[in-house]
Amino acid sequence: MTHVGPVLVLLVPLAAVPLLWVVERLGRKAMGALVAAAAAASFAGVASLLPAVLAHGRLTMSVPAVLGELGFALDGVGLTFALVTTFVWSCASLYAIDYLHHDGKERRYHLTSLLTLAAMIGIVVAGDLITLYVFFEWLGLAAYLFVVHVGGKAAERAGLKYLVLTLLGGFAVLTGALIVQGLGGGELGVALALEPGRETMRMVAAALLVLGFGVKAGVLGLHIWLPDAHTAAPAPASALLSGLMIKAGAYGILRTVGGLFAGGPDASPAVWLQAETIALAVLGLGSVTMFAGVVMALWQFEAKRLLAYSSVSQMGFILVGIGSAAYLGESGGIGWTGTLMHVVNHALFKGLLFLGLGAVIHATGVGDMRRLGGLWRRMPWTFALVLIAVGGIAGVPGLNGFVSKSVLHHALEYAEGHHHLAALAWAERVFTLTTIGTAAALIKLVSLTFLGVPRADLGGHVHEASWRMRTAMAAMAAAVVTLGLRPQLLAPLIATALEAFGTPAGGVERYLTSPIGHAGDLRAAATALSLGVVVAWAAARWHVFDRQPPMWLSLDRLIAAAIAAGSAAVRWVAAERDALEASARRLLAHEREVLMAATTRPPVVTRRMWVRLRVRVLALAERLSLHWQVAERVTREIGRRLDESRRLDESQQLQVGVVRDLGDVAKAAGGEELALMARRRIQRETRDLSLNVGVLFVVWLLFLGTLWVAAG
Amino acid sequence: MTSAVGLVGGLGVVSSWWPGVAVALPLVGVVAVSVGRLSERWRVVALVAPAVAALAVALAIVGDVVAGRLPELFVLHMTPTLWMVLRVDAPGALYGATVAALGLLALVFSFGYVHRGPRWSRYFAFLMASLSCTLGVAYAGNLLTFLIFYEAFSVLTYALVVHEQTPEAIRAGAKYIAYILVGGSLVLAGILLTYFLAGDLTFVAGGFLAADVSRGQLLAAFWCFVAGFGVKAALVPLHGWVPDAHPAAPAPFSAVLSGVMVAAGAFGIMRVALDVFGADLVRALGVASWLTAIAAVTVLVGALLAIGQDDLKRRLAYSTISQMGYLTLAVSLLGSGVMAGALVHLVHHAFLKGTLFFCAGLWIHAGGGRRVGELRGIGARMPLTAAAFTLAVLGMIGVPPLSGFVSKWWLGVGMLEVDAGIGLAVLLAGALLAAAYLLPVVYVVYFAPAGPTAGRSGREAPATMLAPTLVAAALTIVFGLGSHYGGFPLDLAQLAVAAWFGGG
Amino acid sequence: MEVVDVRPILAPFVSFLCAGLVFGFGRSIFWRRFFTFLAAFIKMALVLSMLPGTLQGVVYVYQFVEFTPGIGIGFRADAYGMFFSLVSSTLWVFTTIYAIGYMQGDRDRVRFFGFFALCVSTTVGVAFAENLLTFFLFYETLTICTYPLVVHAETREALRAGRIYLTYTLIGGGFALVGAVMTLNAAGTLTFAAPGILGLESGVGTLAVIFLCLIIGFGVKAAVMPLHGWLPIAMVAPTPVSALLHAVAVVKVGAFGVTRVIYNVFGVELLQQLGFATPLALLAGFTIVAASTIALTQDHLKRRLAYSTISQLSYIVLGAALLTPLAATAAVLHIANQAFAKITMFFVVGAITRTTGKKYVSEIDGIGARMPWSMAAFTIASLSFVGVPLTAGFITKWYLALGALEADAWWFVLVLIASSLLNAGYFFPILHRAYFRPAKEPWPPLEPGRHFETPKTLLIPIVICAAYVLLLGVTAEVPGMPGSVAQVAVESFFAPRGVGP
Repeated sequence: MTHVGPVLVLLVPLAAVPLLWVVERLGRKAMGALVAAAAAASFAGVASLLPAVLAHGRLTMSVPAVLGELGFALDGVGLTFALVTTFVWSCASLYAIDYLHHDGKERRYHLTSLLTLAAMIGIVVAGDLITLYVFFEWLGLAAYLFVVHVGGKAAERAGLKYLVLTLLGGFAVLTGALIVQGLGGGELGVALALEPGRETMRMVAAALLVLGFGVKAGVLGLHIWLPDAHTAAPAPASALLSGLMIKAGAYGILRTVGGLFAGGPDASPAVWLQAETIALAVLGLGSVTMFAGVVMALWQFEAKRLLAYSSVSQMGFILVGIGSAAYLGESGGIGWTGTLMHVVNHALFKGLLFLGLGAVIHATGVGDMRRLGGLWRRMPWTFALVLIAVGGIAGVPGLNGFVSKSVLHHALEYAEGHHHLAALAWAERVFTLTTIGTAAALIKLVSLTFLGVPRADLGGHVHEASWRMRTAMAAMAAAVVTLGLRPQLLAPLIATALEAFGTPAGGVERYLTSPIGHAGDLRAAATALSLGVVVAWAAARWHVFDRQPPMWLSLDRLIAAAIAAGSAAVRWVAAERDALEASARRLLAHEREVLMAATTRPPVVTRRMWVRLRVRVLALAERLSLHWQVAERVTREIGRRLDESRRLDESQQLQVGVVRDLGDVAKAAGGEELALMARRRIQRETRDLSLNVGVLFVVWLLFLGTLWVAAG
Repeated sequence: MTSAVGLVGGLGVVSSWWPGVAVALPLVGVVAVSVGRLSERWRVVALVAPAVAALAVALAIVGDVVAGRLPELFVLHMTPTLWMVLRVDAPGALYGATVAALGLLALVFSFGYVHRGPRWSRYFAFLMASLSCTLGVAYAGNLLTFLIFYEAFSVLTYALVVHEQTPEAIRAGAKYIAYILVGGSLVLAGILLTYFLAGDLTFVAGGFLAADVSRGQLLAAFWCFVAGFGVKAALVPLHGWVPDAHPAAPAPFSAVLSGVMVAAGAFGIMRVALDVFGADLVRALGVASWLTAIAAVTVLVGALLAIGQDDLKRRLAYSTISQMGYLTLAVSLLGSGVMAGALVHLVHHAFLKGTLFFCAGLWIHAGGGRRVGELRGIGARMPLTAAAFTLAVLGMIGVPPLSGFVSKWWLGVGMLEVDAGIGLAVLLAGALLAAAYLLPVVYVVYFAPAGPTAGRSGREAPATMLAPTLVAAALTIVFGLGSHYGGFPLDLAQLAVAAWFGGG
Repeated sequence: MEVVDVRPILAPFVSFLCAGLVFGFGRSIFWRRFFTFLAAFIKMALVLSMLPGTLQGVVYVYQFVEFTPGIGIGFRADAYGMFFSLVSSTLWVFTTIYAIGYMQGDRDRVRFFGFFALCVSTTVGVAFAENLLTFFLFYETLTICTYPLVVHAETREALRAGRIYLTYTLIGGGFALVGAVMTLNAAGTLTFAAPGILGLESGVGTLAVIFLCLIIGFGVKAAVMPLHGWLPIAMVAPTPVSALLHAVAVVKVGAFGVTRVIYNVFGVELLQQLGFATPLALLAGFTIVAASTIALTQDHLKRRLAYSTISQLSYIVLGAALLTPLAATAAVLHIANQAFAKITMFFVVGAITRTTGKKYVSEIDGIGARMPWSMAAFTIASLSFVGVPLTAGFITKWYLALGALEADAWWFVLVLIASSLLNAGYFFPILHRAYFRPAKEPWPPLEPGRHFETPKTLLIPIVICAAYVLLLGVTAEVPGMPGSVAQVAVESFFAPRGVGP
């Protein structure tokens, strides 16, 4: 059904943009408040659309704009993302009011926040692939300002890496979109038809889209920008980046795999085959990503880096969910449920974690966990809230992470039970291992940061977070708990979402509530947690984490090295050029001095002196014309100099103005080499034309000649 | 104003004075500044008024063409077999309107940029004259008329290239004129052959050369045209003059040169391929793939060379080489969709590149210097200029929803229509490289710590220069968001390809 | 059809008479000018009065004396002759005006104007010559009465130039004479005829020799390389002389002769069978490129123009030698096109020298500001030589190139384009210096009470000729314009085979 709502919601943050300049006068906090209000308003707006979506499933709207029209559509999936996005955004913005420093860059931060929020909403309310791409690109570029906000070398490097990868991803998506268009598709949620003979092209499109979105989602190998960027950004921004914006990538993949390339009930076997391949591929990517991510997280000592890597791993969970769901096809409801639930959950607890750690960094100014410790006394609130978040992500029963992970686990088992693929069995084991790893990593985080005794003198200024920051975090913590205890709250929403995937929406409630009190899941969670504790303790005991893995293992470093080498080469060339120029300039400067001295010396310049000057100039030209750039500059200089001296001579009534006459002067002054140089100069003059016309003309003559010979 | 005299391809050709008026109007300005003894203010009026009028007429003509009436005006018979005629079809109207619009912007910009002095009136006289001739190129109805205006504005342009009369300007001018004359004579050779083979020179959508004549002569004619126009269109390896002429010329003129005059070459190639030879004949000749190769090389080489450049205007010049390569690439693929994309790109690129050169000019004017390195942190001091520049850069890269994205999109879709994977690859590579050579400038402008020039360069330019820049920048958004409205480039482009390829 | 009419002989006779009067009463400036102008206008009137007839294909003939049948002095105003005489008589008027302004206060003006008139009369005589003998007589007379004009300055340099000039032309004349005599033997007549008068029966060898002699004879004046040596040197003559004689009368007489030989002595058919024309064409092509290339290096303005003349004349020879209607049209038209454009240039150069005393390309920086009208005219003329459309030169190039294509002679298209590039190569730098370089020293100011850059007597011819260059470019085919006459002439060349353009 047509509904203007989605577009209106998109406009809310944009409408706030001009207000920024107005509010700025009221002080920087006012700007923050405005952004928070805008975010809250859009949350309200999205929430207000809930009934309509539940009733009609899909709200569509098309706005005439780029490429004829931008199609907008809001279904259960989009709404789920939209709700969590706007909610977390409101909290983060509230938090940001106190967090940001007075560095005069607040307006840029808030502006960026509004623009990116608009882009995020745009992405989830997009109705077709083009619209999705439009907002995706927009988000990618705007978020760059978040990454470089703090400034400084690290931020710049992170920003560059981020920008390059984002652009590459963007172009991959664009190409994919083009091909999809070429194949006559584009409407999200409508499976792309497959004419015979176009299989490869269709697969290429799918691959491009998955990879393009994968960059943002931080798929292993394409994730290298993520830890740097999330660490460089200010904490609230990190919360947004890590909690939400990478979800934009996940959303894209979800739409690609679950919509455009899904095998619908009435799809041809060929389509099914492709759908299955894609699903398994994504599943594979997911399992690799989640494991690698958690391993890398384990070795981090920088709090935010650890969280960033854990985000990578969590995205792996989501990809696994998508993969298994798509693999199961019509009966993939459980998979989708788990995926969507986990999207919501991860946004909540990862956002909360970043905010919490942000509070710590804000209070202590220290990000390295090895120098923190014992903060639970100084910052009890923050500690408690972070603990909840950790519980969530580590899958403590009663908190939301437990539910979604269990559902995902069920989905995986279910898929494995379908055809008993060995690969899926392995994926299942990896999944279990990862949950253990996650628990261990987060335990490491908490224990190093809050527990124990301070390992470094943090000074007396360490203080509890401000009430605004605490409120923001508390709101998110509340959500974590609520969803942990009453997951079925999400049931109606997810049910509508399932319709978008063409899977029966019946079992959602059952899927969601099944883990609660389910012995197997509880056992699994308990094992994971306890093993996590053991791992963390053992690692701490035997200082495993102090042994950093060798650098050459880091894909990141390899690429960085390559880039560095390239830029070094460029810089070397440039330097070479500058050096040559400089030498030329020095010589010329010397000449100029001589000339000036001569011209200024009263009363007149003798003919002989004038000649000597010219000789110098010519000699200079001969000397330097080895290198073309230099030669160019020098000849220019000579031209200028000749004019000067011409004026000079006419004041002496010497008829030597024209270059031709230089020869006569030379002879007059005697000196063979002088005459020779003069002749060379003259040749250069007369060569001007033959250089410009003659050479071209000869080339052209040959060209045409061959043509005509060919023409017979 | 019109009476139907014939039908061509289902479109009514009507005799009308308007094309002539459009071409003649700028000449009023020429007379006013070169002969008239007017006061400063009245000179400005006498320059701007005709330019505005010309733009109005050009837009009126666009309206006519969209309404299906092709205005036509016979100018004179030189011999019974040679005559000058202006006939405006869809591509002509599109190109003409672009010329008029960008020309007006550049004109206004120039008032602030060009120093008062003895050369003042010369600059404006030649600017207006070359604009008039470029309009003539757009509206030419047969090869001869095309050649006349093409040569005329090429030669007139020389005065603008050497305007600053620095040694490098003179040098660049010599190089420019040499290249252009060689190109022009090649075109003449092509025209001779065409006339010899067909006995006629009038453009016909779908071509008028018959396939039954000697293949060798057809090939010769085709390559003469390509090589001749290729000089202007800066096809590698004929691009030598571009990177010298642009930095030497005054910024507003660089904008015109890059925006519409280089495009004239590509426009000529379009005319030849589709209105003289016709898609089928070109296919039959089997030259398309060669042309594709050349164009692809142009796009990539131009972009790669742009990356290293330190002089901002030189960098932009190389980017023009690369961007204009798209047009030739599109022609060589001979698909209706891709041609539509190319025509749209022609217009969009004109205003994007115009904006970029305007900004470069503003920075030079403000003392910021020509080199990229000298622009450190100038974004803080000249925010509007920097914003316009950034916008245009994003447009060049093809970031939605800006105009550049629209043209890239249609080019891409068209290429897929004809299954030109290579073309698509080149297109995207070009766009990526555009990011590689333009984004660093933006970075320097905004994020690099202010350099030593900070003291000297300070304030935004006066409105006369800022306004055109911002208008051009705004157009990138307008063309992006409004691309689908009637009378916008896309609409005309589709008319054009409908005439060229039938149905389209 | 042929009509007996006295006008063909009157036309040359008028200026002959004028010459006499000038020598007689020339002491007084008034009478000198009066007679000169009178003659000039009468002659123009006479020629023009024949034009309508010519356009209808009428040919006016007048047999003066006939020694033996087929040998005599006769006049015949066919289309081609009309064309040439039109050009020369029109230009005579302008040149006279110019000369009056230019020669003011110069020495020996009686002699100057007297011989000037003589030259023109002989030129027209050549144009209207009915047979080879008449042609030859006037041709030689021209040589003789040009000499005093060349050496007018009587400096050592001038006398030397005069000597070289005489040597070249007289030797050439000798060859021409031999050729004529052999033609008489071979054909039994000397009277020009459309299909040509010679036939294969007289043997290829003989024909070859005849062709060689006649071409060398007339080629000298047409300055076909390597017979061009005299032309640049003769540039020491006063500018009006260089203008009329060395850009129009003398050299064109040579080219005219070559054309006559090709079309009216040998005839297209015969030459196509013999294939003599091809080497001539190649030679002309070579001349075109080589002369232009040399012109690139000349710094002396008039010498540069001289070499450009050499290259341009070969256009005519080339056009004639290609033996196709279109090429022939080009050849005929170029007589007018080149004449007007080149005379404009000489006039301008003369005006510059008269006004500023500059003679070298490298000296005229920034003269565009001082002499805008003249430089504008010069610009138009050079555009015409480059062959920019809408100027006379383009028409020539167009027809010539089409003719070359018609004759399947690809390479000449290349030659043409090459030459237009080279033309640009040596004319545009002049324009560049004139307009875009700052003057090295302030130009001499206008004399008090002058509104124009240079005396009107110099400026008016310049402007009119330049305008005419444009006119020829845009209205080449309007009845009455040279183009139409050229068409008739060409039709007559190819009429026998019923071939027309």
